[in-house]
Amino acid sequence: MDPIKSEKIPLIELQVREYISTFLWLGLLFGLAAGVKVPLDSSPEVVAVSVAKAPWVFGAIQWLLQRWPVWLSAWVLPLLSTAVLIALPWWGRKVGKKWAWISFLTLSLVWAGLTLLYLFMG
Amino acid sequence: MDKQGSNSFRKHIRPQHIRAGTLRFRATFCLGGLSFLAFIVLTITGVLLMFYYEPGDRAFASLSELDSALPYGGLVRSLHFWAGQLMVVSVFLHMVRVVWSRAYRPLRELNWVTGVALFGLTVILDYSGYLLRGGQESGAAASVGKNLLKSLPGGKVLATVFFGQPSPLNGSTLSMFVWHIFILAGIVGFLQMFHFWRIRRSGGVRPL
Repeated sequence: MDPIKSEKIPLIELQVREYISTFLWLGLLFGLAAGVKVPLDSSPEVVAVSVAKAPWVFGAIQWLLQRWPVWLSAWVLPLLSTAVLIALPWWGRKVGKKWAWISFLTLSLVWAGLTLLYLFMG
Repeated sequence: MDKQGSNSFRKHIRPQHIRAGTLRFRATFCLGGLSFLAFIVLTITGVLLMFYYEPGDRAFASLSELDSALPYGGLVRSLHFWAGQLMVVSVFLHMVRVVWSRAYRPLRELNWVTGVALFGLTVILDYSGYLLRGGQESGAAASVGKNLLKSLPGGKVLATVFFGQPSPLNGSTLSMFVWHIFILAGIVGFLQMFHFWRIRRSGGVRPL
């Protein structure tokens, strides 16, 4: 290991970075909270409006559900993707760093892409 | 845990000295720590919301009053919402960073699996929070989720245990509230502590 990287330094140097990151992150959070109002849903007391809106975190599944059967969209594909993720340390050893990265990136881009598709074209 | 035990756990998580290499910004991008910070903000704002929020039929009305009539109520709700969204994004980016730097390699496999579980639970927490908003959108989302669970063998019981009896116009139920604030949040909190403990044990940097 690089001797500089393995050199031991006091914890305070990490703490200083922690404080700076914390303040920056809290600044972003307060900025978002103050600047972008979170709307309430449609009241359950008024006449029902046609809403079949999934939260954005499940947008990809909702997009698939609108096109493919439930068993495939809601169970097989998400569970298969999760299994691939969980097993990454083991199959990554066999296929090597490059292919592990490419597979992970492809999987992530597909799900992120479907989420964006749902959000903007769903 | 006795005093000696808690002291040694604290020193394990916060050692007096750390390796210089782990301090590089590019080693972590601080994403794990920022995810934990989001969880802390979510816990604090969640406790504040609990003073006023009523699950079930009054969910939408209580949030509406909290938003419009309570001083800083809207801000607290907004902080809770945005911290939740930022947590999902930062946990995902943290996973991308871990794969990029191959931090899932031997000795850290269990921590990778814990991380994947944390990501899944964070997404479910976000979903359960969405249902607790109590409006028509949450009712529709609860109906979809309940029907998906029911499509599994034995799913009817699972759906009732997790969702309770939501109406199509309101997804907020006492069951969902208990899952959101106690069970799911409790498991996520516990798994995070385990995650940090394992990171130190594998010689990696502390979470932030």
